[in-house]
Amino acid sequence: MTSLLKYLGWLALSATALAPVLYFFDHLDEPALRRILLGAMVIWFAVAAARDRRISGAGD
Amino acid sequence: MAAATPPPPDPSASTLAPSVNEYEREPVPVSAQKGPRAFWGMYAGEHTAGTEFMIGPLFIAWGVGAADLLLGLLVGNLVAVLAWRFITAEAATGLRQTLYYKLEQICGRQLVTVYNVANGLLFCFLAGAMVTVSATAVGVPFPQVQMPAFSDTMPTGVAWTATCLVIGGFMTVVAIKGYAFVARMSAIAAPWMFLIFVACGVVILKRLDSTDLMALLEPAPGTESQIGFWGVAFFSAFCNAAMHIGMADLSVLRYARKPSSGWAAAAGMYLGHYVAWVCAALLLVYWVRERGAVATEGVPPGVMVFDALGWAGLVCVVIAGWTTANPTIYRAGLAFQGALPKLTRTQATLLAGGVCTVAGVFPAFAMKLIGFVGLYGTILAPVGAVIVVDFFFAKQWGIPTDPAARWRRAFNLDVLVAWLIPIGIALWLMFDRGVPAHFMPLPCWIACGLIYAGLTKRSAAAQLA
Repeated sequence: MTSLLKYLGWLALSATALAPVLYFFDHLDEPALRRILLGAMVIWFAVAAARDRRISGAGD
Repeated sequence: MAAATPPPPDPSASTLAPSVNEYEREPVPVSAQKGPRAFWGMYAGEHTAGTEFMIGPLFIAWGVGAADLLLGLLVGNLVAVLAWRFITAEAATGLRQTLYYKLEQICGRQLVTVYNVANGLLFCFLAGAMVTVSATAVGVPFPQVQMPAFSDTMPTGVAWTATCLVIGGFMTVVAIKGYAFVARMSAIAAPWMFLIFVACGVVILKRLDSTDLMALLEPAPGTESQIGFWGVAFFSAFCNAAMHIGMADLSVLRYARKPSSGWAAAAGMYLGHYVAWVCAALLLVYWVRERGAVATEGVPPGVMVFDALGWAGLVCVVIAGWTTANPTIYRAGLAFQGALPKLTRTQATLLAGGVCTVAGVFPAFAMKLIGFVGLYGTILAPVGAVIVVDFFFAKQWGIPTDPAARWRRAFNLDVLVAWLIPIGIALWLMFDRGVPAHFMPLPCWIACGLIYAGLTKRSAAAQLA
């Protein structure tokens, strides 16, 4: 489970980094870029919060 | 932190290293020391904040030239990193004490209280600037919120005031209830926020159909240049003067195994204070070139980032403001608690949050951030020179170390005089002569150190006589 969360987190960060580059080289249009950034943000925070909770033992 | 009894708590404790509130009265033991990795992440996170969305565009509003900006940031940030490495980290790993404990030994507890009040108030105003930045994002979906321009210093209307009060109130409640959560949230958000800054830059380069930064960053025709290479270099070198030459980061770097951990400040400077500032600056460049915005009037950061990246950008502005304002409110609360020991931590944080929220309603602190940050460094950094003299030069110059502790003084007048004279002259130069505030921290710091050395030598001679 921890590995899956780690993988998803990296995937979300990679999407945040790559989407603007793809947009820059005309492989994405602006609405798609915004959707990817929004989706990646949701995944990143959900995964990071879940990982944080697992590491700290319990949520607060 | 539990309330009320001396010693004063440490408001400069890092948001990302929960253990820094320990060992406040004793040197950090070897078992608690950390390797450089912890510091690289911490500095990168702490210097990618909501205020970066203001500073980049403010440089453009000030009509900076492209070469002046890019080279000035390169040189200025290098100076800041060197200050962290060779002054702060050397002293921190040599002393392994908090700023407040060391100051108490040099200045006496009562004078540390004066420093705490000044520190707490300035923290509040800084957090207020972050409330303002967040409000420019929260206000985007609500057309009735009239956004402030760079020239605005007073609230722009009832809706704006209400937005700031709600955000400031929320931040205060979170600072009281959930500080640990916010600290973790800040650590989680940091890498994502940095990528959002970069995304802003990439999207704007695409929209402007150019990668020629030198051409893009040239001031718009008719923009009066108010800052050049030296201004940018001094600003970037000393916008965190309170932290490096002001020695606030003693509290963080005392945990470093070796002084070389001071190099970690480079992560904050070159990611946050170079890449993020340039990316944020490009946002205003686009609005000036393509949307007809007036550079000196600016465009609120929330509006620019939403236009570039949509909702993810908007959330980034809010989170960047929130995660940096919250620990700042918390630290201000601790500073007030140190000055007013009868206050509980909740009361002290409420007081700090109240001042911060009211400050946030006034756009002046955010819109004049370059000037305010210079003032902040001018007032707080000189105190660090006293520690530098005590740690690096006392033996060489024949000055007693820790004079307040040695002579059992609660108030070391020598330090107060050495602190106030340079600040008084600097404030006169700033407000009467119009000298930009970012040029002031370094001369004040040097003058404070030299005056302190002279006065302490005289006091030591008087003690012997």
